[in-house]
Amino acid sequence: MRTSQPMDAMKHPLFCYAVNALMRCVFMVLLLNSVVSANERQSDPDGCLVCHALEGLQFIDKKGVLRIATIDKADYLGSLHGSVPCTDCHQIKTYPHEVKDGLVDCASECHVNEPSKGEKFSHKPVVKEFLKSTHGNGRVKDFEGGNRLEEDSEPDPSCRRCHSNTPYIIPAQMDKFKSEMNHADAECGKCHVGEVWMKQFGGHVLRRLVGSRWNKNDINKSCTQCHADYERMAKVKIEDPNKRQPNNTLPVEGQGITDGKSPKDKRTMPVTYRWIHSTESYERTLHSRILVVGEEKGASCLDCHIQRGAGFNGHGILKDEDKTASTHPEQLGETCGASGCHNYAKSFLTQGFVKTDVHDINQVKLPDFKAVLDPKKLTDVWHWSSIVLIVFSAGFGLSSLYWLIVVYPKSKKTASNIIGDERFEEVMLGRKPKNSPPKASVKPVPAAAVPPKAELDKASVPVGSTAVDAKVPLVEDKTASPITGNVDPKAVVAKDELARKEVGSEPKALAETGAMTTTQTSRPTEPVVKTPEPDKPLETKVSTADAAPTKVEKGAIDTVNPTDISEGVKPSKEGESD
Amino acid sequence: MIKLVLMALLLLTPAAQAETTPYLLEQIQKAQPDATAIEKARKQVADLKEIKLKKISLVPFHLREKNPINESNGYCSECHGSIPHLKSLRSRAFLNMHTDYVACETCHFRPENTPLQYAWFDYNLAQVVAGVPECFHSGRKKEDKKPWVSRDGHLKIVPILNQQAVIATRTNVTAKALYKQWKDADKVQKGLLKAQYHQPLKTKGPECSACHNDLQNAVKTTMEVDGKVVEKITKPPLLDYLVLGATPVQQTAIRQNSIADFFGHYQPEATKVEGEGVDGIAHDVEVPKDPTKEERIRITNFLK
Repeated sequence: MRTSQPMDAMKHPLFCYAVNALMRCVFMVLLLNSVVSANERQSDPDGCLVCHALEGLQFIDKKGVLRIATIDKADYLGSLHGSVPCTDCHQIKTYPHEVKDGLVDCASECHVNEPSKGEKFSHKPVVKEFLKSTHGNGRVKDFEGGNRLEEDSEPDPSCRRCHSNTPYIIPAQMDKFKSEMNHADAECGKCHVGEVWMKQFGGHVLRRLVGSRWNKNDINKSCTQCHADYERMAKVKIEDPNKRQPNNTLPVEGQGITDGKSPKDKRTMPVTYRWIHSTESYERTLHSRILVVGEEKGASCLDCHIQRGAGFNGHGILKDEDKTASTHPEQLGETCGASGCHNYAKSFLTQGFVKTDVHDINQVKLPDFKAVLDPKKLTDVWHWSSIVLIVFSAGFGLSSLYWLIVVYPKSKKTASNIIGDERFEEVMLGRKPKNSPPKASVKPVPAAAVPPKAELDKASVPVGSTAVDAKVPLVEDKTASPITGNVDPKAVVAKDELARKEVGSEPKALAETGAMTTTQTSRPTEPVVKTPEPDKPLETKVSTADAAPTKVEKGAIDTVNPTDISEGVKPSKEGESD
Repeated sequence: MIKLVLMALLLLTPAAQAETTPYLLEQIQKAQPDATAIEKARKQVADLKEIKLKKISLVPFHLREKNPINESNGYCSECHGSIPHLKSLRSRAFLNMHTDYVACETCHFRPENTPLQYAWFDYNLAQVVAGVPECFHSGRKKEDKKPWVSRDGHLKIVPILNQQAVIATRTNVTAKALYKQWKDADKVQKGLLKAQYHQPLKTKGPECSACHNDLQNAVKTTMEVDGKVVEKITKPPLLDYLVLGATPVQQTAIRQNSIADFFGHYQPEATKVEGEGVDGIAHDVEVPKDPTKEERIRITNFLK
């Protein structure tokens, strides 16, 4: 019984409560103690930074690449991988380091555990998505310092092309961080005890609070570092959508489109000029121009080329031909209408909107003439029509050249030859048009033979007489009806009156020209005075050939050719005709 | 009197100092390489492939130094560049790091019969300067935890003789003449000149322990000289950090260097870049057969 008494006491509820409370206290003390006395976070358990933190560790390798083995310790501890030990990525075992040990695979697991399930962290899902993308032949493993030269020349982007181990709070956002979090550098260490913890400033969460690490311009900058290199882009071979694999699957890695085998790969085709200059045409759009002035409402490359929604992480850029791609014609309505940009684009009534070419090659300045001549690089109607225009322009140009060299030297060097407007000559200068009947040979009339004014009045030809009878040069009368050829008698009388007045005012000039007129047209120019030979009588001869066109119907009148007046009549020899 | 003062001032100017021929250049001018050395040099000149730095647009994943290449002021870098160590896979990066604060001549010019001292040399001023803690890279300043000196490479430890630097500088007239002679020479002549210029120099520098674990490696032995038992230093330290101006903390940091210990565990230079043969076992610090009084005092101070 004595021995059973202590056992009974231990079973007493009060005892149990006391023990329970004591155990809880001990546990709490131990827990608190462990928290307080926890070692500073150590991100370099293998001591790599003992050497690699030294400044000036560098050499030039056989390929001529400057290799810098120094790691900026302060930067590394505050970086995205600051809590990841070096050997999680670089499996270094020996010194001098074996190259194969240092190769990094971005899909490998590291010692950072996911907090809820305790699983090891890995970039594997991202890598998986990336491999399915249009950039899927890019390098995702075997990274080391020595192969950066080869990687730099590879057509597809690698992980390292866009990503580097930047600090959680990048320098560009540090000021914003300090102002928004109301922190100073010295204050951080009070709470974030330890060098690593302090450098990370709480890391992931704070980075999200400050804002996205990449704004839209940063995203574009990442894309344009390759896509704006037109020389580089011209070398890329892309998949020919008409020669896709059976069942429309994407090409297998290693048999890809942009690998070294592509020139022999029949499934590939040369890239188009439009594709090569896609960044340049994008820069002409409002999408880009809004971003350039600092307005985030513009559209970055990823805004259109990534299918937003679940699982979005920016790595799954698909080919346009892929039906699930955000840039596939069937998806454009959703893509343009995403994020409230162009909501109306989703409606079937505005289907035309999505057909707008946001990479319009017509907006791009042609860098050289070869681009026009190379049909492989052109898919645009405008450029083809340019070729036609060029051919025609060349034809016109050659013709002009022929005229200038061959025809022009043989032609008359007068102003009217160059101006070439016969109508102008005829109306304004009062010259005889080339197609008009040849003028009759006119013999100059001696000045002495010019009759006085009274005789001139008598010499006025009455209505109904002919030009031949009157023996004066003929000219078409403007008063004649253009249709019937009949002349308005009243108009003729009025013109006669006018002619008398004009002749009376310039009797001398008329006498010198020797021209006998019945009616006169206006004379805008001064007549060229030529002294006729005195021994030749005043007479006008009309050649037989000229007779027909100069035949005047009844009612017509004979007139003096104004051309003869203005230019002066050259004395012609017997039988000579114009 | 005024003339004398002016003459003295002229002699003190750097230009006047540059006119004097340093000890190293004197040795080069006197050098008479043998046929084997000339033949070897000619082969090296014929096989020389100039390495040009390639430009890479890819950004390094980890942040490196912002300005990794320091333009070296040294005369040797006229031909060898500012990153001269290429061959040794094991130590090339560390050796190139040392070019920031150790002159080439310190390691590669160690005449057997002429004991040299070491001091800081300011390449900007072209003169020897007094050693102070600020000259050292070891340790960091308390106030901002930054290195004592910036890595611009203007301060380096150089060998001196009679308080004069023995090194060649780019401004020296003799050094310029030698360089011009090299530039104007054809390949055959260059072989001869290369052998002549490098004869006073040693291809291999001292081991890390010569400077970093020098106290452990400095060995004194007792021996009988002229009937008297005396202590004789058989392996003295190369550098006198006290004279160079290092603080006790800095001295400890340099001497108890874990990296030097780490290299000490390795066998001498066994791994080289492919194509480069093993160049034999490294020679250790050259031991003067008969140390001078000054040197004994210096070494004894260290051993204390």
